[in-house]
Amino acid sequence: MSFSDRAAKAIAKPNLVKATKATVQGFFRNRLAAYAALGNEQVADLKKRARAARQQGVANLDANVSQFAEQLTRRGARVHFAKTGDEAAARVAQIAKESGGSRIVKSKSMLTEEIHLNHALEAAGLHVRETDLGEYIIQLSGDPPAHIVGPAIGKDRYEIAGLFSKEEGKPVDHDPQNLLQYARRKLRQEFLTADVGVTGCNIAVAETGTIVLVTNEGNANLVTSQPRIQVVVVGMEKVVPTFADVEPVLALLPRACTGQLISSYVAFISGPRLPDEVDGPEELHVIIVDNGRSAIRNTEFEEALLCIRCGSCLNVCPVYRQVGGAAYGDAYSGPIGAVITPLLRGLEKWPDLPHACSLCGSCHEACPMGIHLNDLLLKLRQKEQRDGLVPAGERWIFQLWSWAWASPDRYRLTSRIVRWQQLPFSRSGWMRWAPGPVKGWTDYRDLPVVKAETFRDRWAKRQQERGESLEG
Amino acid sequence: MRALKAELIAAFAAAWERVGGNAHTVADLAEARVTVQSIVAGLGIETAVAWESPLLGALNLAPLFTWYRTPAAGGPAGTKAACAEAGVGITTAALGAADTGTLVMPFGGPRPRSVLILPPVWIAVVPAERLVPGRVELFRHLGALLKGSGAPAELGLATGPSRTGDIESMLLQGIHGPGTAHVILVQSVDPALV
Repeated sequence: MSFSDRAAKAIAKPNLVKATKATVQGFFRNRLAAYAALGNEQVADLKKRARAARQQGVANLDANVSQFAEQLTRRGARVHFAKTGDEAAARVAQIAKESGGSRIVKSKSMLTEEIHLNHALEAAGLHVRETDLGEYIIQLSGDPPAHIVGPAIGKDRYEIAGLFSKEEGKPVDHDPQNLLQYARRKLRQEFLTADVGVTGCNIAVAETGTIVLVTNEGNANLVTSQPRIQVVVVGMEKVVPTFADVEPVLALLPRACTGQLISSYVAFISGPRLPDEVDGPEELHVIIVDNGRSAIRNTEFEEALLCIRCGSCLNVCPVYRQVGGAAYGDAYSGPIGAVITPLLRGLEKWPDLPHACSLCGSCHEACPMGIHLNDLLLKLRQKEQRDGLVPAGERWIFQLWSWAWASPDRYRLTSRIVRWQQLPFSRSGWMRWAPGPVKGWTDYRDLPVVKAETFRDRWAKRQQERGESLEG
Repeated sequence: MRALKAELIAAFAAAWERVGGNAHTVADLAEARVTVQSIVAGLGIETAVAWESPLLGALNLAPLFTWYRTPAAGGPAGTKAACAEAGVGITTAALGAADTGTLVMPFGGPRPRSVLILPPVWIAVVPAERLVPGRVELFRHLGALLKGSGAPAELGLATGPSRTGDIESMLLQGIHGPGTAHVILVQSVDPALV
C-alpha cells in the first residue's frame, strides 16, 4: 500500500483527524510555553549544547560505543552487538529462553518498534506485554504507533474501553479513571510475574557507561526493579561522550516533547543490582543495535542520526496533522519518519515517503536538534533520481519541462500551449474541474488559467512605454 | 542564608504542586511525624514500606502502622512482597532541585527501588538543607554520584506522582507508580541526620 492509499484511509476517519490535530496542537502549545518560560537565550544555549553532544557522539561513534560497552562490562553488565534488527530481536528472545523465563514486560521504546521486537518474541513462543499505557493500547489493537510520543493518540475512551473489554472478556466501563485503574491492575500483575524486562535507552553515556531512561508513568522503574533480568536495547547513535553531555539533552527532551520541565521519572542505570540490593535485575544485558545506522554515517544524511525522538516535527507538520501516523506505514511517522524509514529500510522500498512533504520547513524550525529535515527530504528525492527510482514517465515529463523552460522562446510557447489546453475547462479564469492527472489538483482546489496577457507580455510593454516616455 | 533557604523551600513546594504532588513545609522532625500521621490517617493507610536512613529512623514511624517493613526487617523476597502490598512507601532523598521539584533517589541496599514505585502513595521526607536551586547544582551532584566505581546500580530522579496523558490527552495520576506523592520539607534537622 502506498502513502497516498494509507493517507486516504486515515482521512476517511474525521474523528481520527480531529483528535490527532487537537493532541499535537496541545503538544505544540506546551512546547512554546516551556521554551518561553526558559527564555530565548537559554533555549538557544541548550539546543547548541545538545546538538554538539550528539554530534560528537556520532563523529567518534566507534570509540564512544566501545567506551560505553567497556564501562558497562566493568560494572557486571553483559554487552551484545547486533548488526540488524532481526539479530537484536533474536538475541532478546535467546536471553529470555536461556534464563528459563517466558514472561516479558517492556517499557516504551521506538527502537523496539523499529525492529518489530514483540512480533519476534511472540513468534519465539514468549509472552510480551507493553506497559506504557499508550503502547499497551496499541498492542491490544495491533496498530503501529500513531505518534512517537503518544502512540495511541486518536483513540478515544470508547475505543480504548472496547479493546480492554475484549481483553477482559467482559465489559469495561469507558470512564477514564476506570480505564486507568483497569490498566494499572492488569499491568501490575504483569510486572510482578515477569522474568525479563525490556527497555530502550534515551541517552547512553560513554564516559560512565550510564543508561538514561525517561518516563512519566514510572513504568520503566517497574521494568528495571521487578524482573530478574533486564535487557536494554539501545540504538548506537544514542551515545554521547561525557556525563556533562546529558544535561542539555535531558533538559531539552521533555520540553520539546510535552512541554514538561522534566519527565516525572528519570533512571540512570550503571549495572545489574549490587549484592546488598533487594530489587533490580540480577542480570543486565545491553544490546547495541546498528540496523542501518552506520550506513547513514558519513553521508549527506548523517544529521538524521541526531534525532532525540521528541515528536516536535510531527506536531508542526501540515501533512502529519492531516493524515496522522498510520499513513507513514512504519514505526516512525511525520517528517523524521519520512526521512529515516527510507534510510533505515531502503529508499527503494519506501520511495513515496520523501514526497509526503510540502517543504515548508516547519519541522526544521521546531526540531530542538536543528535537523534540516526538509533539506534531507529534498536530498532523498534527489537520490531517488540518481538511483533511477523515479518512474520513466515522470522522469521524461520533468526532462521535457526542464528543456522547455530553459529557453525564453520555448517558455513563451509552452505557456501559450497550456493556456489553449486549459481554455475549454475555464470558468471566469479558473479551472474547477479537469481531466487526467490535473484532476488530482482540481478535486481539492481550483487551478488558475494562464492569463491571455502574461507577465512577460506586460513587462515588455512597460519597458517599451518607459522607453518612449524617456525619449519624449 | 535563612532567606535563601525559605526561598528554596517555597520554590520546591510550588514546583512539586505544579506537577500534581502535595507539599508540606514543617519546622522539625516532630512536626514531620505528625504530618505523616495525618496523611496516612486521612487516606486510611495502615501498612508501610520504607527506606532505612538515620533521618527516617529518628522519625520513629513504625508505631503509626500495623506493619512497617524495611529491607533489614524483610529480607529480599519479603521486602519486595511487602512493597506490592503496602499502603504507602516512605523515602527520603539525597537532594532536591527546587526549580523543577525533582528528588534524587540513589537506590541501594537500604533504599530499595520498589519502595518508590510499587505502593499507591509515596511520602518523601526531605531536610531543607538538601535543597538546591536548579539544574546546574543537580547535575554537579549527579556527576559526583555517577562517575567512578561507587555509582549506584540505578539512581532515580522523581518529580511528583506517576502520570499519563494517553487517554484523550487528559492528565491522569497513578497509572503505574504512586498516584499521590507527598513531600515533607523539614526546615530544621539535626545536622548529624542530614
